[in-house]
Amino acid sequence: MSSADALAVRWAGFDFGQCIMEPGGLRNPLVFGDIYKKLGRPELIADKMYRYRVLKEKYGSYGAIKEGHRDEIHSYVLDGDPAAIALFSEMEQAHLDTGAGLADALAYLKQQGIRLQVVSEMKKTLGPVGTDIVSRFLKRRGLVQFFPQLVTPQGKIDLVDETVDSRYIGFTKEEGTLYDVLAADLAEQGISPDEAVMIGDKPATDIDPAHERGFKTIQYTGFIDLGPSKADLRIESFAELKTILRGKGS
Amino acid sequence: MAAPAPESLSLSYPDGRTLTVAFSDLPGSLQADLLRQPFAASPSPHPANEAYVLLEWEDGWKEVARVDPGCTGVQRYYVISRTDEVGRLALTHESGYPFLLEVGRRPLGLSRITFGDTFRVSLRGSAREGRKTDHQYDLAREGDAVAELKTALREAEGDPEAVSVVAHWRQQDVVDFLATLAE
Repeated sequence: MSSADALAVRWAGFDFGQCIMEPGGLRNPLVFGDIYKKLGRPELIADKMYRYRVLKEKYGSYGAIKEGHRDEIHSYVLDGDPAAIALFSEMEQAHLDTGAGLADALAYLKQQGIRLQVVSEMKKTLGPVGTDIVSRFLKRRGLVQFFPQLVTPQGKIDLVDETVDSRYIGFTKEEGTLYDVLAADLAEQGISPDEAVMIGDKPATDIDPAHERGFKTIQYTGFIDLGPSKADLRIESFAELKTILRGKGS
Repeated sequence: MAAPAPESLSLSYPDGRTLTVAFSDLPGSLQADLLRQPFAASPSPHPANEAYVLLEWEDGWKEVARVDPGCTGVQRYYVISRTDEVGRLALTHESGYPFLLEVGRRPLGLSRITFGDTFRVSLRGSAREGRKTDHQYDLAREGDAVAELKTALREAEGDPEAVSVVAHWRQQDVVDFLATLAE
């Protein structure tokens, strides 16, 4: 695609899980290995991994455990040990990856004058706003310079001044209502939906509901390909954004 | 009725020392491993009352495994297919048979190895054979990691946190290693 054919936009929204954040590095031997080596109990690693896998079979997936049964990770796997619980939270963050080519692409988009926001359902978030897994990830990786705000069903969270715009509270990506609020919010900034692009991996939450509301949409398949969607374009690497997108008016 | 679990495990040394630990205090995976060893195996008093899983393969291979008597049914079966990276550090040994240490933690990210000398690890090249890729490394003498740790420990007035070394597989190794640094 030549620069003349590139989509001209003024705003870009990125999904978080399996998009900006890739959990591929979050391997049990690494997480539980680091936790119990740091605790001085390396002999327990195999047992803890086994128990975590048992929990996965009980609830179906690691995501399901983290979303709804975190207390059981603490009690059944980590024996209620406060030090192990704190390290689990730390290691979850430490071993997450970012999508290939992400930082370079974000620098390009920012240079193009495109406003960037994370648009996340934040299902796995816990604790006070700003200390959730998404916020901690962005802060730890130095990505707040690109994403000063998170658009979520818990509100639009400003990671710089730590304020929360409550207009978004209760609206979701899956129902599409979050994109309705987002479109109104962007309209106040003089941006129409066709000047905005949503990038994510999940057709049901990132692509189809946004597309139906007039947003441009790009399906990211670099970590997982969840099949057909209404996306305008598909990319395997964030590096492709440098040829697909340009700033409108730049 | 399943066989009762052992009550304790004892280790006897040539000098007469004996270490005994309650069997239930051992990690569960170690309990299972010990009970699978031939010395610990004894005929079940009621074989027909035990629970068994029978596995059969397309090529005719069959395996049987006795499982916990509390198991009540098959929940699901699935396969995870992924590329696993395992580092293998071979140390020369006086027996002529190298000693192998597996490195499971981010093996491609290993930077230095110290055994006698300290070696900088740098990728020489990678060769793919079918589904397997071998990454070969050059080892170049560089620095003295033990001396660096000794200095850090001395400057921290003996605080082991200053050297941030954890055990690869046995916590006692860290304790003993720190003792050598402090000497």
